[in-house]
Parts: sequence; C-alpha cells; structure tokens
Amino acid sequence: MENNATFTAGAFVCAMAVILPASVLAQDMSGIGYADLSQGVADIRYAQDRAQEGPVSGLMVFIDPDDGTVQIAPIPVDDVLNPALSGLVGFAIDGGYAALNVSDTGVDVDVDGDGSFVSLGTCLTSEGVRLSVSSPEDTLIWSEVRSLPYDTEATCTD
Amino acid sequence: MKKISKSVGKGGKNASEDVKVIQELLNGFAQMGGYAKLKVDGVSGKKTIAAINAFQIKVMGGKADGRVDPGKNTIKALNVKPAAAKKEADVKKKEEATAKKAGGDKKPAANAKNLSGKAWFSANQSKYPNSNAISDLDGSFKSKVTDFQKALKAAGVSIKVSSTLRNEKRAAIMHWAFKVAKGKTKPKDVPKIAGVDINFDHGDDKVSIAKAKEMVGPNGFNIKYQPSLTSLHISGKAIDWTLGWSGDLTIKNKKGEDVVIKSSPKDGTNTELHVVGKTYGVIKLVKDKPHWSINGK
Repeated sequence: MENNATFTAGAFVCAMAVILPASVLAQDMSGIGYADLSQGVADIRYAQDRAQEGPVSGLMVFIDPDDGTVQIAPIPVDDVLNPALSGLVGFAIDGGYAALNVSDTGVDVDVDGDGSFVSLGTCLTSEGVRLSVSSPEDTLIWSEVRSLPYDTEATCTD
Repeated sequence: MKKISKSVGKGGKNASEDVKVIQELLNGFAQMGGYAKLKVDGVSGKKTIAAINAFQIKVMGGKADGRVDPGKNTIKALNVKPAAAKKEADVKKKEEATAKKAGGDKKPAANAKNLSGKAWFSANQSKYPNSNAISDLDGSFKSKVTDFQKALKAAGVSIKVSSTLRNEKRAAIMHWAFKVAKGKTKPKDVPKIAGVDINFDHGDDKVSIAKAKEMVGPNGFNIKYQPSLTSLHISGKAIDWTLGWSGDLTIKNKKGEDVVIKSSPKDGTNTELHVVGKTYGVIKLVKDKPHWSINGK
C-alpha cells in the first residue's frame, strides 16, 4: 500500500504500511539519530555525532518495546512537550528521509533514497531504552542506550 | 462565595469568625492538600497555617506564604471547587454506590487517604526519594566508588553524579502503578508494598486504571516504560555519573600507579578509563554511557 502522509502536530499511532515520497535525500546514518524526551525536554541528536544537534525538521519515531506500537510525531518539538510524548525515547529522522515504512513487522526507513531500507528497533535494558538500526542483512549498524531516571524491566535479549 | 473581612494565617489579623471561615474552606481540600482536617475553632494556630501552606502549594500549585487575604487569590481558590476535587468526589460517590449495590453496608476498598491517584502522588511521593549521594551506596561498593572518585578528582576529572541509590519503595510504587495503568495487573492483585500506605483498588477497575494513569502520567512519575522492582541501583550497587576532562589524563589506578590516557573520547566512555575503574572494582557497563556498577551490569 502506498500513501502520501502529512504529519501534523501531536502524536498518533500507526499500524499500517505508509510509504512517504522522497524530498531532499539524506545520506546513510547521517539522517538518523535519537530523540530523548525522558528528561522533560527534547534532546535530539544525530547518531554519528552525539555533540551535533539532530534534525531541525523531520520525524520522531517511537516504538513501544512491549507491544511494538508505533507513535510518530514531527520535529521541531514544541517547547512544552506533548503529554503523550513526554518520557519517550525514540528515533529522530531527518526531514530529508526518502521513505518510512511502518508495518506490523516493524519500522524500516530508507534515508538516502537508494531503495535500501534499514530497520529500527527498540528494547529495554535494565537502565533504559536501547535504540538500534540494522541493515537488511540484519547486521547491527548503530545502537545507543538512553538512560531513564528509573530502572526498567529488561526486554533486550543480549 | 465565602468571604473574610481581614487577613487570616501567618501575620494576619486572625479575627475568630474569619479564621472559622478559612478553616471550614480548608477542610474541603484536606485530602487534596494532604493535611488533616482542622478543628473549626476560630484559632489560627500552627495547624491552620500549615494547612494554608499546603493548600497554596499542593492545590494552587504556587508558593506558600501561609496567609489568606480578603479578595486575593487564596480566598478565591478556596471558594472554587477544582475539577480534580470534583473528580475525587465523583470517585468517592461511585465507590459508595458500588458498595451499596454490592451489599448495602460494604465499605469501599480503601480509605480515601491511601487510594492511588494524583492526590496520593502529590501528598506522598516525596517520602520516597532517590539519591545521588555516593554516601548512600551499599557498603563495599561505596568504598570502591569513593576511592575511584578520589583518583578521578585528583586527576582533574569533572564529575557530575546523577544517580546512586534508587528508593526500593518508590520503584515498587512505580512498578505497580504502571502495571495497573497498562491493565496488566488487576488492582486487587497488587501486593502490599512494605512501608507504603497505598491502595490501587478503587473498587471499580476503570476508576483504578484511571487513577494509576494519573500516577504514571506527566503530572506524576512520568514513566513510559515498565519500571523494575529490582536493580543494581535499587540495591545501591551502581552509579550514574558524567565524567569529562581535557588534554591528557594522568590518573592513579588502585595500585597507585600512574596511568596516562591520551585517547578520546575524553569522557566516561573512554575504554582506558574503564580499565582504571576496574582496578577499583567500579566496572563500566559499556552500552550505557553514565552507568558503572559492582559487576558491569
């Protein structure tokens, strides 16, 4: 199923395949990062350089490690966090993403528009949320644990 | 609207009739404010002033001056029944109706004071604080961290501790509130948390879930993921701290030998620093930037 989608302010739950049209193409992992809303503010950084602020515009993708529910919300983030989003940790994807595919089996993104998708995954460690990006061959490309201000029941299998 | 002619409370004129008006009004918010109902005696004593303070902080959400002045915000607020107070009253009515329907004289599942929800959170959560003090860590780990910290400081490393001992009771409250809010545990099945007077069972599962959601929501603990009942932090055997330095770092290991670290990053993720930490028995969990513990988990 192909579908143009417009993302409006606030979060919504998406459980069906959505293919977004390409606009400005980003390259590889440079277009992906983390969006950490667990500390009461939006901390958005690129994956490859923690010191560099993340996308100015784009999407945040939050995958519930428990049931796989996906929430998507726009970047920039309001100064006052949406209560539905406050406390979440997820991915930040540059506004230049080529395609985002959200399905029952997971979330895949083609950042550089070459037709090759990477998979986004989330699980819990005992300390917080682990974000991971894997290649189509299931090779881990990047992962990051974002600590939470409380301990969590681990769901990560390694 | 009930009025007063002169100020009541700390530094006020405290005319007896005015004080009685305020005491009656304050009693309507006792549960929300987390204070005991006052004797309406027209005397503005410590309890009355404390109740005014609690009302101003917990119900009005502002600063407390312990005083109610005619025509000002506090007297206005005391005359308004906020939505939250109304909701509490509605819940109580519903509980009473449920109890009546079930068996006439059956009591609600719990007394109003220990029922879970926003009011419980406001009144009680501060009793179960977490710590960022190294002195609160478990005995043997505390001494290891203290020694390592001394070496880090002596080497000029900047240190910011964000978490050490996490409160076991707080963790349990969060754990069960989240379970109930998510519908994973029936409110009646929540076990008693030792040393914590809280009841998640409002006598109606929908109400109980709504109240649990208040506790885990942004105006409560603000948790989005399942909190754990146990962890190394909860047992005082882990520390989260942010470390940083510039230039080359010369630091002593446990044997007192100088270790020179020239590599980057110049922060707690540096693997050479992890080796030094290990000599002290403070072991890095590599996948988690600020986390060090007694066993690296």
